[in-house]
Amino acid sequence: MEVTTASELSELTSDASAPPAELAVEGTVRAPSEEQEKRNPLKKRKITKGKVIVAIFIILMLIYPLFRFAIMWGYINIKALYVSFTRYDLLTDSNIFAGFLQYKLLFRRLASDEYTKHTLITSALYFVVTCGISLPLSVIFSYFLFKKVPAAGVYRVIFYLPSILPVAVLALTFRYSFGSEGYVDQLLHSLGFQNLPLWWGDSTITPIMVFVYCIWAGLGLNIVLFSGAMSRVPKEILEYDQLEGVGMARELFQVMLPCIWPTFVTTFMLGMTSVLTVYLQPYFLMDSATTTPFNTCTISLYIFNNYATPAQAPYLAAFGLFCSAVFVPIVLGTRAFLNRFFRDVGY
Amino acid sequence: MKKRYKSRAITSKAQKIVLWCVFALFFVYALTLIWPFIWMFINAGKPQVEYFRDKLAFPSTYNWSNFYNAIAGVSVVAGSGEKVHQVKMIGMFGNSIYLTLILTALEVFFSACAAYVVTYYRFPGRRLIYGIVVFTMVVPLVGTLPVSYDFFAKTGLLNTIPGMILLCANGLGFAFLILFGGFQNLSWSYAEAAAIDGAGPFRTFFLVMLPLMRPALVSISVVTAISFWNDYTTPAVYYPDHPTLAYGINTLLNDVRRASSGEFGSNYPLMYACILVAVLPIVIFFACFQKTIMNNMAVGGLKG
Repeated sequence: MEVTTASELSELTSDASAPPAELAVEGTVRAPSEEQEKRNPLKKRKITKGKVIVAIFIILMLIYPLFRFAIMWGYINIKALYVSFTRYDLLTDSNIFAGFLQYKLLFRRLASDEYTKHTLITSALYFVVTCGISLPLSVIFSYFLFKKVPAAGVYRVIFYLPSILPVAVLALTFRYSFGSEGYVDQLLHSLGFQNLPLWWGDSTITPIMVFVYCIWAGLGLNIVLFSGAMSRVPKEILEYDQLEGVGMARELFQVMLPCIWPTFVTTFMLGMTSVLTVYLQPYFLMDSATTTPFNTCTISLYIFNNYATPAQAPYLAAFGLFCSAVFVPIVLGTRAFLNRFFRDVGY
Repeated sequence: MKKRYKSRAITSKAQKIVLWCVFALFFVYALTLIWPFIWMFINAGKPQVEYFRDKLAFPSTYNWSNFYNAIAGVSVVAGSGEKVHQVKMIGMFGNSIYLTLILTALEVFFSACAAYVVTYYRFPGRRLIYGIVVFTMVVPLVGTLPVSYDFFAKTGLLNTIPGMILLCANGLGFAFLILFGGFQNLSWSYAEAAAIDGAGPFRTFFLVMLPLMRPALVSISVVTAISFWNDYTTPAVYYPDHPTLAYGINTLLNDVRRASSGEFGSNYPLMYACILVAVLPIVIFFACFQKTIMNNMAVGGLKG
């Protein structure tokens, strides 16, 4: 889901976010002591009935979510893991156990196939783009919105607009804006620029254009999240800063950033996962091209584009799960590392 | 003391200059976000030839026929075999509304049920459920698409509403976390009062606790609806016979571009009209619920 909220992110980062025991109750009827039960067998039956009703209530309330989780997460992931150790047999139209065959193929391709290598490198670059450029820019933008730059409210709404539009629409709009049919080339021509690059047909420019799009369209959501986090910083701290004559840069990096650190860590972590998940942006910008010579393919796009027959499923499952197995510990490790900073900041 | 006061005054003046510089920078960025749509609106009113001649000029007379064509003229082919049919944009709009309403209602309902029970009731595995929600949101496992597609194809759930419900109405996802937070802030004494009056757990939940959560439910419904409306992958892979706007617009634009390609290039004015028509419902929705959405994002805040 493309839209997330700050409170959700807060829950994700906080270690103490598990359900608090003090809020939980044992249902509408409390369990009696053994002595009470012996003394009043009639009451025992009543209480048991109440407990049964509560148990039925709990089961009914959770039955669908747990059933759905068991199928869509448990079964699908276990099956994918199994499939990654098989090969497809055309004659029997089934998967036959093949040991590490797919993984051997994967490692061979990782060592020798340029396309696979580029796919991994491009995906890894999304980490740099998201966490190294987009995220710091969002923090800086949010800070100035928080500092009440003129028309801050209007800007906040406009910046958020890309987050509510379908990716297909936004990406195609961006694509059409550049190139021979778009206004950018026309504008640059009229300003005297000649020999403009082929925005969507150059192995150097095109991957950069995809990254530029991701930054252009991806700032809004983080800006709103960080603005929300900054609005919760106690005013007393900021008033004290003003009295002390603290400059903007110092206030941002030494006061604000520590205060919004949990938000930063979570958005950083979610930004990291884009390495594994991003695919729609290059998919639309490159005109749904299945194979492109411009090094814009990502891990997810590779899987999305290459699945056409059941024969490809084992290799794609091995590819995806291998990437997840390598990258997820990095994400969790980074989270643990980042959470070590500014632990003493609380308000 | 005097010197320090002067220093503060200078800082304040410098800050104002910085803020106005940032204002200009923001203006440029905001313009880049809005201008493409204004430019498309200007050009959507041109005939193809006029657009081909000058892409920056205003149309001599604004022609609305492209918008009419976008809504009721152009279409995409959906389905296969005997079920092949044409779907116009108005049809995609209907599919989007239909799916979004069903999926949002079920997602929010299932999430509310699960969040309520996990918040207030003590039972084995309660913490595990919460852990599952967080883990599945933070840890993305890729490579399961082929298996998932195969499962839906074999069970006959492709292109069906139950299939889409199973895929999208999670109950243990983002909406769960928001509603879990909401229930934590809701006093249990309301439920206790209801229990004293003889209400069972079902009546307490449906008639007392759920209505009290209305603001949070509205808020999460709006955000969830937007995400379902904009979802491309799920309808594209699992519901392609009934294209939604988010999925169908890409196919539609590609079809129009290929079909109209000729001496004066492709019919870009018509394509721009299609884009604007596709964007309009969600922009209106955003305008209506803008405060709810922005408040939901901002008020949640993050605290260590």
